[in-house]
Amino acid sequence: MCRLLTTVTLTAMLSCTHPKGDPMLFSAAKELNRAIDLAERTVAGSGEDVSALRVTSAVNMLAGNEYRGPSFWRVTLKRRDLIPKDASSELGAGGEIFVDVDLATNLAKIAGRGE
Amino acid sequence: MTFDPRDRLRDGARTPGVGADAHHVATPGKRTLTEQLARESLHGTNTEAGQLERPVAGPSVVYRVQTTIAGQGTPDTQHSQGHAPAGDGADLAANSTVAPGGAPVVGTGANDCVPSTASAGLVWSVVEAGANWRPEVTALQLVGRIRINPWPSNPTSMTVPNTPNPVVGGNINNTAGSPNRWQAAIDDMANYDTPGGGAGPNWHSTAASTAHEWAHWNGDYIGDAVSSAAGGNWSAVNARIDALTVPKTAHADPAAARRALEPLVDAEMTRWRAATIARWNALIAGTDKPGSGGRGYAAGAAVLATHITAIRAFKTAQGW
Repeated sequence: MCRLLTTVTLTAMLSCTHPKGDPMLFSAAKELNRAIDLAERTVAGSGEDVSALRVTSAVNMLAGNEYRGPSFWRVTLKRRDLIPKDASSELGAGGEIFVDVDLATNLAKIAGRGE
Repeated sequence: MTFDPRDRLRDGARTPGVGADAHHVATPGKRTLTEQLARESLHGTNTEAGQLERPVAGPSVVYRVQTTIAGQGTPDTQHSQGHAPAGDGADLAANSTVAPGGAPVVGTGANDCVPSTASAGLVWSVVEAGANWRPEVTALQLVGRIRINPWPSNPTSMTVPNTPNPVVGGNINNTAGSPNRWQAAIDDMANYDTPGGGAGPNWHSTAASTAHEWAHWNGDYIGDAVSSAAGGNWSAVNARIDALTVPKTAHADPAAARRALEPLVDAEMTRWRAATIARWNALIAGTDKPGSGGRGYAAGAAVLATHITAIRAFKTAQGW
């Protein structure tokens, strides 16, 4: 009981800190953050330099033809050097890493690479 | 070494805004060019700060690439160890529209394709047109970069990642749970052009990657972004440039006429560049994803389909 109260209190305190500037504490994004974290760890584990990549999409596969379940995310990372700063330069084709993440099992795997 | 696609234009006869060397200007509708490998980013500093690509380790590889573009047909690009033939220097007919020429630098280290439309070079001269002077476009030299990373190929080893070699003693088996099982290889390649697919993780081929990147250059870039009405509409731009005039009464010689025509030509090229880049970006952002209908994935999938067919034939022959 005491531990439960402590947890609740801590959660409440952390939630209160959000207006002071930490958007990561929004509970609505916590699954997304976990999915991206798992994806990045998996990509890093494959020998990629994660700092050279940026997340360009993260899709929760909770409906539609690609249904996999609400715990399943498809995260796409793309090489930063292929992304121009503005529309006056070309977007580079390729350089993506597609990562499938299942938060229910905490497993992520590289599903393929973009060309 | 720092690579600036404009250097090649400055070094040769294809200097933007300078009359063309006939030796380097091929027949209208047909361009050839050989290029040497370079690996630097074409974006230069116009990428996210501090995130320029890493140097690629490994031996340098020099490819010879010949891009032949005939009329409005599908450009055909071939790789070879030899030298591409030089242009024949035939004279251009008055007011003829030239086909885009040039070729990307081809290298390894990744699988990507990046045109550099800002660095495309226009070659034109000043010709008489009755009481006027006008520009005569003789070449549009496109530049960019293609990189194709060799996919692992161990034809007699039951390992992955690998390129399928479905023969006795090859790298395809019928062992349940093995990543080299025929069905696993087929499944991996069959999802290439489906959402979340892409190359690998276990089975793919360099030929598929090659087809993919050249589909970007020949189809998405030259055939669409550069040439189509939805993009730069090059032939119309070429015609508009050729139709510009300045009077001889105000400009005594071709040099004076050229100075007067240059800002007009530049304005047309600025509009062409913006439209070409916008179309390219729309194509890549909108279709260059597995399962999104892009030309690159379609071209790669066509190559992978031949691998899949071969695996099925092998499986059947083995009685699996």
